[in-house]
Amino acid sequence: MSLEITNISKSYKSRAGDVQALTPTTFSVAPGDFVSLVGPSGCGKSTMLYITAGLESADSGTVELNGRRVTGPDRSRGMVFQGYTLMPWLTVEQNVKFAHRLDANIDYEVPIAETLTHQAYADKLIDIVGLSDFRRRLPRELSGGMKQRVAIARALANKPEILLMDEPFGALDAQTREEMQELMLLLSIHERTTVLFVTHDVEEALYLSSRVLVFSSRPGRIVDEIQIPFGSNRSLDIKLAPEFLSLKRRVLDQLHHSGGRTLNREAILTRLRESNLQTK
Amino acid sequence: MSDGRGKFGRAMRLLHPRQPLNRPLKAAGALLGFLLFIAAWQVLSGHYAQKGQAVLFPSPAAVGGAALDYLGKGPKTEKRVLAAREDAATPAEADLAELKIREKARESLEILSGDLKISFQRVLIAFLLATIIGVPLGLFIGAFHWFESILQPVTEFIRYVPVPALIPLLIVLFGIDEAPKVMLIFIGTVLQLILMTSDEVRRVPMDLLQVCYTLGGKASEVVTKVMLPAALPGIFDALRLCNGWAWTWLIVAELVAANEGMGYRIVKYQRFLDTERIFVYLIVLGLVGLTIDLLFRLMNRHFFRWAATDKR
Repeated sequence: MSLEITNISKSYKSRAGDVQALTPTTFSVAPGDFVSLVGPSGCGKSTMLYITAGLESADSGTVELNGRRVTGPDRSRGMVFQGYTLMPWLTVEQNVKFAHRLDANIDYEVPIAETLTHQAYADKLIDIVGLSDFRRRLPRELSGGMKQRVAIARALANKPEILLMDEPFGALDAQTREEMQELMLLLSIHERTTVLFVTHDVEEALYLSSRVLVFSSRPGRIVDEIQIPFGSNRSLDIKLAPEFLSLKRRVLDQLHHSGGRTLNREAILTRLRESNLQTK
Repeated sequence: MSDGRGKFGRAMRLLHPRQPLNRPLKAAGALLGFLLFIAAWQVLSGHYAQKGQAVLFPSPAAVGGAALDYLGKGPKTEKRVLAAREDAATPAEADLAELKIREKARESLEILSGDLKISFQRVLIAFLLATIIGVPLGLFIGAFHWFESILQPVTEFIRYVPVPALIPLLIVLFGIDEAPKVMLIFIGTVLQLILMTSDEVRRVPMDLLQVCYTLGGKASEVVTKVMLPAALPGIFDALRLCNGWAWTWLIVAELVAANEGMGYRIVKYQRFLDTERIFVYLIVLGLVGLTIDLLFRLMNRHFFRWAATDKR
């Protein structure tokens, strides 16, 4: 077993008292798995990810990665964030190789495979994500999608045991998002990366994952677990397949039933009728 | 729109906020500003001249003349030379008199450059001290909450003690040599620098720190390899502003107790009612400040191209 999450819970203090963000939650991620956490905003799925990264503490429970208890952030768990998190003073190449500047990575010239050094691996990743012509560019000269590609390459270049991704494509336009999804899928399969992925986009989760965990709204808990039946060479077209759509239906129904919606069709129609607006 | 005149048409555009201005118009604006300034000066000095008090508020032309006198080419120098030549009995005597007058003009230029040099030296020493002490302290206050909790309240308190109120104490403690002047400038700038540096460091996005941690960074590396470089352009800008304040405190220090320096000389000329030279000194101070400010801006643009905001 790669990642073991056991009874992790978390609540926040607010003026109205304690707010439970996450009820005790247990799941695991096997090596090579691509597991997505989907759920409405505020369901604690991002909290779960930050606790796994070691960037936030849990109230109870444990996180173990390959038998080691997680107590804080380190290079075993790489992370891609929702916002653009490139160091703005560094070029694309310097950003991807940022970890080489850190003491923890003093062994970077040591080969990771028979002939491949970390340096060379980082260079290859820049090529793979399609940024070889942009090596010397600064982040301010890149589009949003390019920035996230750099962030992904940067996280992978560190050869993490698991890659944590927090709504990495949330800020991108629909078309760029699909490109990024395809890149991420192929990359994770090719590099056999273990991924824990957080998103509120059901389609994205179904397309990318080998397994999807559906979270209820606050307090978050897992309400469904879906093994994705599609093979690893799925294309974007699969999003239109009947099987895909029925899975999407299933998740969306669960999200709607689990509450958390403050706006629904009936309520809006009622209010429109009642307000009796005489505009035009 | 397609005619290239922008959203509102050429003239109306100026009436809308944040509409860009092209380079020639900007330059014209700057020129207009200076012309208006000189015109206002002229009017004001004319007002004094009418009352027969031209000496209290010299005209731009008189100040320009005084500036030329410093270079030995001004109207007063020439007048004196002419008068001396008329008084002289022999051509040799006349030559000697002229030489003496021109020598005098050169001397006053030497006084000006000497004043500027000593003042510049005072500012430089105090400024370097403030940078060496203020930037690291600001970095620590911005990076560590426990450090902030210890130092922030007390620095805020000291910051609100009016700096000139410290002058008597500084003179008692450090005498009347260079030390009290440097200390005054140092105290006047270092606290601002600490405050602004810590603000810049606090502004570094949490995301960037977390990226560093998840790549294996230690806490110390997060501070030195993320927070410091990210805050550097802002810190550089804080240094630029501090340079402006440093010159202010310099003059305050020199007005009170000094026997050379820009502020000292201005007080001296006040005693002789030599307002023309006071104006020359003021202009020199303005130009020096502007030049240093410009240098800081150029360096900022050169070193921190990554942080430049796109002008729109």
